[in-house]
Amino acid sequence: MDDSKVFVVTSGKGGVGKTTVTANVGACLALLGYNVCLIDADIGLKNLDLVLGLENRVVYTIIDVVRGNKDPLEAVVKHKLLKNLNLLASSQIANKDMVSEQDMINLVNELSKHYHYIIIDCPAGIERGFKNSIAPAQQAIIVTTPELTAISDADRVIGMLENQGFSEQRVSLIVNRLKPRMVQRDKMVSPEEIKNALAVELLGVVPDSEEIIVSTNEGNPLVLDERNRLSIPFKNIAQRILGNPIPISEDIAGSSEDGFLGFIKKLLGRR
Amino acid sequence: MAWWSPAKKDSNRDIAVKRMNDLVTNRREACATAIKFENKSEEEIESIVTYIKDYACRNLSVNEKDVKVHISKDGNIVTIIASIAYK
Repeated sequence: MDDSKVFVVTSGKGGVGKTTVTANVGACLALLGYNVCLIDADIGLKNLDLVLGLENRVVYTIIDVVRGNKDPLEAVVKHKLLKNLNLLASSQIANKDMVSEQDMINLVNELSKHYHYIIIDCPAGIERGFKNSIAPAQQAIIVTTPELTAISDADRVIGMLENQGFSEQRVSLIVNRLKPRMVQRDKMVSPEEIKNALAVELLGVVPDSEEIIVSTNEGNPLVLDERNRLSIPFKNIAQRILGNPIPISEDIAGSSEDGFLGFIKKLLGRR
Repeated sequence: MAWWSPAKKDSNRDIAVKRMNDLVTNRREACATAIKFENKSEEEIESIVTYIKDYACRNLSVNEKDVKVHISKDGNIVTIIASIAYK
């Protein structure tokens, strides 16, 4: 497809929610009718298939494609509930040195002919896996949590992206696991402060929630549950990717409810 | 320190914001350039690093501590990244 868009979701630090963001933003775009392919570039430490509940359906991996044993489309697996959400899985037994930047560029060029959106789930770190992941990307989404360790690593990654030729317009930020009540109590930096410090555009804010663990346990992106309040920020992020300006405040609207009222609402919202 | 202090204590968030801004200042004010060489000896690499630092101190009015030179080797190829933080 001529207008295919390629994103890389990266962070530097591990465990900040790159895979969750990749799965849920991809699912939102698929729900909107776009053909989406997610690529797990975390070779040797794959997770995206687990988050999507596709671990038993994966037969071929990115390594089979890079070695020329399989065509990319033959290696791609369709999601069981969302037929236009696809995954090119990583291998558990391979290592990052088996794939080069040129391999990734060739692979994405081939997939671009068939999908509207390609989202690459980048491994943690700034070594070869990171360089492979950013090589074919047009846009980079940096995921950070509101902790100094994650922000510092995000800053390092933004610097590396700039050195690789990514302009300001090609880099955006998602603040994950925000605790709005801690921000209100002056115990956590706000997304606005992180945005100003890192000097990149804010693409979305995802509040902290136990629902992420529940959805991973079930192997379904949480955005598939219409009633799940946490689906709102991911849907907003997808809309912003499409160019629709949704205010960032919409991402956390109602997420700071706590106490008895919050408890009752959570209780009623449960299946 | 006494249990009671008349000075207003910074909130936890204020401390975090100050530390965050200190952490990220380097990238925004720094300009990094990467250059690659092949088959260079340790002495030659060391002299290049010294030259970069001297040049930056003399011509760009920066302190030596604000000039960071990172060296990485991949086989015969040596990559030198010089990061100069302007104030």
